[in-house]
Amino acid sequence: MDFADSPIDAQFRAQAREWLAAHAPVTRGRGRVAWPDDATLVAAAREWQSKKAAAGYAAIALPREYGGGGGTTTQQIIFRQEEERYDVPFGVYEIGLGMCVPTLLALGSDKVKERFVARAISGAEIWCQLFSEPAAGSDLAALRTKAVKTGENWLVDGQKVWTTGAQFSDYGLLLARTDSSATKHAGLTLFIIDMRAPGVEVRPIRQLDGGVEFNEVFLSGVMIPDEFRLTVPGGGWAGAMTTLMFERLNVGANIGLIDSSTLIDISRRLETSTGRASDDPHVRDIIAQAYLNDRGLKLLTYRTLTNLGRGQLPGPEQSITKLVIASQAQLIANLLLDLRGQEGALVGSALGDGWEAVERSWSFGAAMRIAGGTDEILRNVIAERVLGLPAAKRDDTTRPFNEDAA
Amino acid sequence: MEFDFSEDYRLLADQLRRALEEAAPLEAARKTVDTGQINVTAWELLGEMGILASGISTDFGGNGLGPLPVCLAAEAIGWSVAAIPTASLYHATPLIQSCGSPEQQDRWLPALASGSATACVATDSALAVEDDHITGVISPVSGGTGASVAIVRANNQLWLVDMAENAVEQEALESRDPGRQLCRITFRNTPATRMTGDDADLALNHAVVCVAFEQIGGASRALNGAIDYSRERRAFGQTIGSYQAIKHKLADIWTKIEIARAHAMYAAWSLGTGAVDLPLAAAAARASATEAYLFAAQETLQVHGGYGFTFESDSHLFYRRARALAACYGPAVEWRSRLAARLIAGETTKH
Ligand SMILES: Cc1cc2nc3c(=O)[nH]c(=O)nc-3n(C[C@H](O)[C@H](O)[C@H](O)COP(=O)(O)OP(=O)(O)OC[C@H]3O[C@@H](n4cnc5c(N)ncnc54)[C@H](O)[C@@H]3O)c2cc1C
Repeated sequence: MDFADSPIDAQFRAQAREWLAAHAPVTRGRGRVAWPDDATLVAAAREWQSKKAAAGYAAIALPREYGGGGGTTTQQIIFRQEEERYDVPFGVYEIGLGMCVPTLLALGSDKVKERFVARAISGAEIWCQLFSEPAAGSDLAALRTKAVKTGENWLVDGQKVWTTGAQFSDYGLLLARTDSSATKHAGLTLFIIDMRAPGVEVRPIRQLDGGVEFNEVFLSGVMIPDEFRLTVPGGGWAGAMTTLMFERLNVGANIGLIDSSTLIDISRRLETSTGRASDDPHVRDIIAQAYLNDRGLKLLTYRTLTNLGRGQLPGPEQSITKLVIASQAQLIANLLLDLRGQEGALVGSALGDGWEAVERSWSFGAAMRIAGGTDEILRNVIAERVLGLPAAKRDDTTRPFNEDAA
Repeated sequence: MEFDFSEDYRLLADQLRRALEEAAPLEAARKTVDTGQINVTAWELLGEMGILASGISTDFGGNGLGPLPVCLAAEAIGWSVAAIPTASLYHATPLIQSCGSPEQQDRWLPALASGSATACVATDSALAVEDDHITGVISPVSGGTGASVAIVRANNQLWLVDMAENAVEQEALESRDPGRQLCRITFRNTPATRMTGDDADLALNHAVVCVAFEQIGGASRALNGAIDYSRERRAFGQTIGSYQAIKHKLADIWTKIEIARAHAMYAAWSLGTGAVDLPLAAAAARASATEAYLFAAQETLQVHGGYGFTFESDSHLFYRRARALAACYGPAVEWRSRLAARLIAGETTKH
């Protein structure tokens, strides 16, 4: 066993550290907080992205010819580990660079790659993912948004929902039904959609936490040129699976939720009616249990890095991370808010330093148990794809979609 | 980054598992529940494979390979639910190696390395000592039955007692898991020799890390059995493994095992390199592996339905062993409490 980076990676880490120290904004403190508004966030993110792109850190594992860093996934993870020490703007480019651009590189024509990839990496263009619909979330293949071929174009009608970042995105990956007489999974096609095209209407959705990060997107008569098609007609399901596979490469990415270290930090300082919170046996037991999970997941990341070094790609076992940390963040946040007694019902900003992050985990922990595969779906993935248990019997995959939907 | 055992050790782990599956099949574990007999073949096999000698320096008949082979063997022991006096291997041997006087080491380590002797440890009970003679009762002692030597605590010091002395009485106790023998030992003015070191913590950490590997081995075998069963057993026209209540249960077991295994591997690294973070790493391994095995044993039994409650099934083997291993070296809740104290005090791991 050896925890050291390889000499090349060590050098990369040292350079990244030095570069970050010179260029990243100063850390404001623990825990990520919401930005005042989209315009501020996007402006800050764009500035940061262009700095990274100029230095080759914007998309480290993507090819140089498109403006990537030409490095390895391991180096990408190393950079992310270092970058997370700073309070840089996260959340604007993750979907584009983590999922959309790798999909374009895997499926797009040369023309598509040339047109889109470099601009996405430099930060000039922002991407979003239009998969989910009101009647198609976990069961994504149930989607109804239609794309019909008319001459050299496709005409799109339908509605997407929960589209993160649609309000400031330039382009999106769109999964649509192109053949309703085919079976559920066989009639789909993956496209690039111009978010500023006529007929695209983005309506913000107000969230539990008051924020508006995701949207409804209404599509009426939107024209998509055939050259923006990424898969053969009917090949969209496999294309979408490619996109979701890239999500897994986002190994060890911190999703901004609090963990045992926050619990230790706060409970050490917090006086309750029965004494210091960190002296309470119940609190101590949760500290230990949460640490066992956080630390265990960190060690599993070491194992993933080990496998990456051996040339193996992360598999469905990566589902473990989100499954464990999202619900745990809710648990820790609830415990901390409980310890404040009646005050725990106040908004985070009224509770003092560090409590906005607690409040954010209370609310966003709930979202993270749903986004990117719900807890239940992740357990299915582990059971079926890791442990080899049989898929549930279903009767929705063999009939033509239009018969099933009727 | 290379967070894994070396290829040689991965091979050794494979060999150990296969050899123990043969020397100690689950059928043998079931018989042990009635007979309470130690699996001598499996014990001898560990001797032949150099496992018993691995924590012992070459000066005293050992091969000096250190703790990692013992950890791997522990996982295979857990996997096969073998009836083996593990306290001798996990705890007593490293304790004599680290705290024994040269004479004690010379007298006992070669015999422990070859497997001709076993030792037991009961350092948490207070005994009376006078003129190098011990009096009192220790109970229950794991691996005490048939042990040639016992390590005890008296007057805040460690002592070594040759069990061949006449003034020692051993009485077998009824154990929930007869594969892990427990006994009561009574000393009546029994001659003892003082151990020179008193750093018993290293050996204790060694023991709990080994037990963690044993727990993970057992939990993994229990999970495997439940996966196989749930793919065959049918109810309401489907295999039960296609039902989500079963799937999610098995996914949760797997999740706990994966996390526990990661902790155990790090603790093994810490043990093998003498890293200062061993106390933290060992406590983490102990706490998470205990939880994982208890949960796996209990919930995989449930997956087997009524059959899981029969003597014929394997479920009770894991259910018993999980309980027995949770009981030794203090319950998980105590280890979590110790862990929390270290974390609150600001302790961290090296990597
Ligand atoms: C913060 C956030 C951001 C998001 N961003 C995007 C985005 O950018 N682009 C995008 O396309 N989508 C996005 N989504 C949508 C997300 O992918 C879906 O919400 C998710 O897949 C769940 O679908 P659903 O909301 O329709 O819930 P449903 O699928 O209706 O699930 C409802 C409940 O039923 C359970 N359930 C469903 N099927 C099964 C099953 N087979 N077995 C057991 N239980 C089941 C679920 O676990 C859940 O508890 C986002 C969601 C959130 C919360």
